[in-house]
Amino acid sequence: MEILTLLKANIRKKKGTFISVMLLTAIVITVMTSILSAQDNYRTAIEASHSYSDIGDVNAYVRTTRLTDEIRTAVEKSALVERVDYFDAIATNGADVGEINDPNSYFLTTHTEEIRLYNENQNGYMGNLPEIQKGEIYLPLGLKSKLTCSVGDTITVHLINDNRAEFTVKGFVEEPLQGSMVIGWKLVFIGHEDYEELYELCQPLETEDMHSIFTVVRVHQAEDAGLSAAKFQRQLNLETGLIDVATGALNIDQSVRYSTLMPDIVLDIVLAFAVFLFLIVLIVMSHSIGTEIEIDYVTLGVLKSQGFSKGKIRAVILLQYLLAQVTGVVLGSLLAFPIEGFIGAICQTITGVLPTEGLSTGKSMLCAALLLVLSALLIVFKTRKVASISPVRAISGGREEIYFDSRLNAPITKKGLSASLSLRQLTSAKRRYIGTIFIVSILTFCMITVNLTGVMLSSHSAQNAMGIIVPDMEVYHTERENPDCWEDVEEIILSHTEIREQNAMINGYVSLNGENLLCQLYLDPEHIGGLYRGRAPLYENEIVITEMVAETLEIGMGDEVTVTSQDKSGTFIVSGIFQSTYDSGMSFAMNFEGAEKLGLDASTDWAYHYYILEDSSQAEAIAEEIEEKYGSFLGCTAYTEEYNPITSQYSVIVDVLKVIIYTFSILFAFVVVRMVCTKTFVQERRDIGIYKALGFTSSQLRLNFAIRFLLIAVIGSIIGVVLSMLFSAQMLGMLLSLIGLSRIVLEYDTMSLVIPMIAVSFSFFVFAYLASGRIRRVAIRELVIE
Amino acid sequence: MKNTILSAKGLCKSFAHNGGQLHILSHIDFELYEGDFTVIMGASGSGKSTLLYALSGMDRATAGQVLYNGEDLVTMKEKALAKLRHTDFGFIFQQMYLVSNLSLFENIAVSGYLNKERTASEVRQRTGQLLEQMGLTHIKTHLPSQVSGGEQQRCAIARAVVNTPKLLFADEPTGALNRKNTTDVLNLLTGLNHSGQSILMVTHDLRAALRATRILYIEDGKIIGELPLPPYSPNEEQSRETQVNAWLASMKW
Repeated sequence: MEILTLLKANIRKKKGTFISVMLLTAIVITVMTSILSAQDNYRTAIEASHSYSDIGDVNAYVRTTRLTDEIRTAVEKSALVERVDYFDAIATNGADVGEINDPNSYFLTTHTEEIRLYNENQNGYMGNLPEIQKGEIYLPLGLKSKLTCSVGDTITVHLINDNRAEFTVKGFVEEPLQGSMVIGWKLVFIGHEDYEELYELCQPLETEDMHSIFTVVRVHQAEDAGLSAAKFQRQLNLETGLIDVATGALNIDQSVRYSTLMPDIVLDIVLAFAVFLFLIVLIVMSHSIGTEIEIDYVTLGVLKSQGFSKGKIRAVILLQYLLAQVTGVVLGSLLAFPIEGFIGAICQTITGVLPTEGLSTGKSMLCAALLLVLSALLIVFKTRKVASISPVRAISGGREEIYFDSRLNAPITKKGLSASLSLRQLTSAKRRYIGTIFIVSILTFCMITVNLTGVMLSSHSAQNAMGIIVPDMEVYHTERENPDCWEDVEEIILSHTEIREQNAMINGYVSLNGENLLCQLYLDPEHIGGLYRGRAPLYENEIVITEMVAETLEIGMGDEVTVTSQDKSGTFIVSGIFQSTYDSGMSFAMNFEGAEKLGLDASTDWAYHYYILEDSSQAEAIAEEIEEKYGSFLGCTAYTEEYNPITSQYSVIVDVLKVIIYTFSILFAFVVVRMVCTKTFVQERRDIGIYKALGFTSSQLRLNFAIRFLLIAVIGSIIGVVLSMLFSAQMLGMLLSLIGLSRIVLEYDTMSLVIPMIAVSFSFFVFAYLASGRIRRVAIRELVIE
Repeated sequence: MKNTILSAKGLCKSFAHNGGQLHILSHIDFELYEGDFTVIMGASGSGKSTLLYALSGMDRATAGQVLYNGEDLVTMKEKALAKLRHTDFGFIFQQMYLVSNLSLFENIAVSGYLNKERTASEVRQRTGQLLEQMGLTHIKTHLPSQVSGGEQQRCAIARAVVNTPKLLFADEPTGALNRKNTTDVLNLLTGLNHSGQSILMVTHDLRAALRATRILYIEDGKIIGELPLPPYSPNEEQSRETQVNAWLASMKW
């Protein structure tokens, strides 16, 4: 009962602290719970949609002419296979909606079984796809954002031999296998009449090099096989060679991984930020408890003299803070419902799948329990000082006066009196502000890190240093049979500027130890970017692999591997480990000679020639000149610093992250400053009265207060910069390893560092000035002893 | 004929109390004269400190006027009052109230720095002189927590006079001091008064009251008696004490 009485009194007296701790906890819980739940929800929804659409464990896209009866029989008869479904599709070479072009292949199909049609707002289904009429097309939802198109828009698909077909977008569907915005190849749905017409048009135009008619093979694993999708695909390929003959293949695990990749990265970064926010909550509580014990020294001594044990006093403090946190947990969980729905809706535009709704009870409870347990441990640790409070000393005049002595004391000067007094307040009570300095450094670290991520994703030089090839221009053949023009192309470039680096590259899917992977074929292997261990594949029997491939296939440098393409295979040695974002890190590379060994068509004629120029501003002029001269059979793309073929999609994410992290940082800064200011104000109330009696105005004292917090923010943000230089790259490496970037090279530009420093410092200054408003209410009369 | 330096007219001060009003000062009229060492005496709770704070502008009266240089401190804006505190007025508290993280030198100099009419070097020079006068030079870099109560109060006096105020207010300046320190502080105040400093002091210490040239007695928020005295001389302390004691007895002290 006595504990309850004290608890009620404490909460009443320290409403500000109670509300601040509750708010901070609520924010952390909202962010953590909604993110963890959203991740669970879209993952569950994708898996459920896979089942609903019965897409099979492995989907292979095989040129119909290459899908022999022998392979069909082998697949169908495999003990690993339960059943196989086939349907036809016509491949396209890209599509346009208005000004927007997507160079990726779409597969036009009439196979609409168990494909659900979204309603107008994409928050529910209208049922399975109805019969499609002539001229109509249904697109997976991922294309809605990618092509920024709507129902009623016209989409033009590019077919074999530069034929075109136009359709009207009739609706958007949930295609769970590759309907995600981040997967290039797409299944799109048209009517039977259109399909037959296009089949009649394209099929006769097929040659050995130009292909259009595909069979999509959906293989369902036998229940007793019990293999992961990746192992099933590898095993199936080793048994039947299905994947080797396929132009591309995707298993359900890959589908989930690629579909969730982008939202996972964003949400993981925000989640990491939420962990930092929780750390801030702990620091704030630690500071608050320490200060309260200092302020309430006499009261606590009196309580002890009245028979309250240290255990009871500590229990009151523990309950006081935990109650605020439990209230925060409840509030945060309630807020998490709408936030999760909002996050889910955004992620749906990326994954293409309608997420389930609601909070993940288990994870949410675990998260809250962890937060409360860690907080309780901190409170128990911080309240150990209660044991040393002496009732006698407390009653006979309170705590011994704090002994101020510091070698850091700066002089008090007439010029800049407020600033010099602020600095003195700071240096003479350093311990009081250490927690706040930590908080500022954490917030600055987060803000700088997100800024640097943005710079990394937009800077060609940073990306080249990490092995992401971001050329200034790219030249490629659009027609196969044409005279050799590459020497002339080079001369055109050289007439504008020197070439810093050039190479030619082709991508293709082949099997590495049975695993279907993207292989990058390079004309000049010495200029493969991102090599960080071993050496480039200089010889025809060498390959370099990514760390992700090394881990997945359990291979390493010096190992012998088997690479198979169609019906040819060869033994290669892993000569090095490199970093690449192609296929989100699941790729390897070899040179043109190695490719020839496998019968791959690796010729300079058919390759993409990319150039990094000495003067990149010349790229557009060069591209214009090449197009003018060779436009009938060469394509040429100039990349500006703003346009980034590989990472532009992530730049949008970084912008969203910036908004989230800056907003939360400033919100936290506000709550933290308010809380620290309140405590500091109580501690310095007497000094404020003295200064007023000496002739300082309230405005001068408020300025003094604000300057002090500005100084704290500047010191904290400098530490934040140092922390960022030490740890940002490592932290991003951990988070971006999902897309194949584990070795991050960051470019520290001035604005990325200065903007967070200014934002945090300015926020602290303004919030401290606002929070110090109560200085006006301090009357000198408070110094009177009647 | 003495010049009036500060005057009060119909001064009232009330506080809200149990849903009603508690009247501490009731319609006080009086004048302070230039060069006087005025002491206000009275029993505890008589309103003497409240009167001092109201007269010095540290607290605002509920009604009435406090006129200084023709301006009413009761209605004066905070900024103007703040300026007055670091130009024309000095204040000494019973509990010294030195800023705990400033050295003795800095505690004095900070007040001086607020005064725009003096340069920084002039303030430092004046601070040095006062430290010398108060016998604190050897401990000028010490923090308040590192010196005795008497030294703290001498420092507080130096701080109060660093801007050469026209009027010095003191609220029980010896209330927290031992006998030796009390004498030192009173000697300092007397010395200041003899050199022309106008002082208004609240005390209930008879020894402090003996230093006055004018004693006012306050009871229930009203000034009920006044005793003019000649300037203090240590040689006449005995007779002065008898005179003051008799007067206080007549006031039923």
